[in-house]
Amino acid sequence: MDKDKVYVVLKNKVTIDTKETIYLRDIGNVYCSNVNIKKRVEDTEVYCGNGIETWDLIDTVDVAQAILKNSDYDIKFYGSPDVLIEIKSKEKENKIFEFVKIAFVSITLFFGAALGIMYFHQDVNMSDTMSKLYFSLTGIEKDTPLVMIIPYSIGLGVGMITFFSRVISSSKRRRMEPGPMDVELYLYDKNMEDYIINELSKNK
Amino acid sequence: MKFILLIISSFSGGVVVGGAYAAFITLLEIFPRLLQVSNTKKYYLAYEYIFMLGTFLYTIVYFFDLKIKLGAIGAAICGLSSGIFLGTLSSALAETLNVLPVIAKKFKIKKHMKIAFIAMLLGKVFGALYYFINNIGG
Repeated sequence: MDKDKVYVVLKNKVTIDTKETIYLRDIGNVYCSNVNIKKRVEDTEVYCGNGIETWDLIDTVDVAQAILKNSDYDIKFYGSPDVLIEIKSKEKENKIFEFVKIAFVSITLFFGAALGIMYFHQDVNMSDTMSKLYFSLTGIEKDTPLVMIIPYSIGLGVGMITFFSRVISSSKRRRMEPGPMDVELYLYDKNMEDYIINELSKNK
Repeated sequence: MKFILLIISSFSGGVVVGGAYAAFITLLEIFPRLLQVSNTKKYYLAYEYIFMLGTFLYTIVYFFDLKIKLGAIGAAICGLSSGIFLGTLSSALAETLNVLPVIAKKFKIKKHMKIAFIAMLLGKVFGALYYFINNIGG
C-alpha cells in the first residue's frame, strides 16, 4: 500500500504565550485526503514553551521528526523553511504608563522638531532667502514678509501630511495603500526577524 | 584665458551641485511618493521638467535682483507651495533615517504613532513660525 501523502505548509512567524504547547496546526496548514490522518498530524506536538520570554526557531527537520516519531507518512513541505516563534507573556495593559510614554515621546518630538526646523532654517539662511524672494516677487523690501511666512509654515505641515498620510480617495483600494511609515515599520520588523532567524540558526 | 578657466570651473561646479541636488531628491523618494498620492504616474516626465525649470529659475532669482511682481497673493502661493515641498523633504529625510519606526519600536507605541506624528508636525510648524517672526535669522 502506498504511504499516505501529507502536505504541510508552514508559516513564517507565530506568537505564543509562555508555557504554551505548540501543535502543528498553530504553525502551519495541513492537507491530506484522509481526514483522520489530517487531524492526527495537526495535533502533533512540535514545541513546548518553558516559561521564559524568548525567540526560538523550528525548522522543517524538527517538524518532520515530530510527525514521523510515531507514524509513517509521505510528507511534503511547502512554505517557509523556518518558523520563527516569539514567546511572550500576555502583556498587561497599563493605561497610565502608556499615556506617560506617549506624552513623553510627543513632547520630545514637538520640541525636537521645532528646534530641528529652526536649525535647518538657520543653516540654509532661510530668513534672508525669504526676504530676498519676497523682494523678487513683489518688489517690496521687508525683513519678515508675513504674507509668505505664514503660508510657508502651514505648507510645511501640509507637506508632512502629504508624505506620511494614507491616500485620500474615493476608491477603497487606493485608500488601503500604505504610507511610507507603514512600509518602513514593516520592513524594520522583517529585517529584525531575518536577523533573529539568522542568529538562531547559527547557534542551532 | 582667465575667463575661459573661470567659465569652465564655474560650469563644472554647477554640474556637480545640480547633479547632487537631483540625486538627493531622488534618494529621498519624494517624487515616487507624490506620484503615488496624486495617482498621476503617467506625467512623471512633466514633473521632472518642471522640477528642473524651478531649480533653474530660482537660481537666476537668487543671483540676480530680478523683479517678477506677482503681488502679495502670488507671494503667498509661492510660500505655501515651497512650504509643502520642504515639508515632504524634511519628512522624507526623517523617514530615510528611520526616526519614527525606531521610536515606535522602542517605546512600543505603534498604535498611537499618530499622536506622536501630530506632535512632530505642530513642532515643525510652530518652530518655523517662531524662527521667522522672532527674526532669529537676523
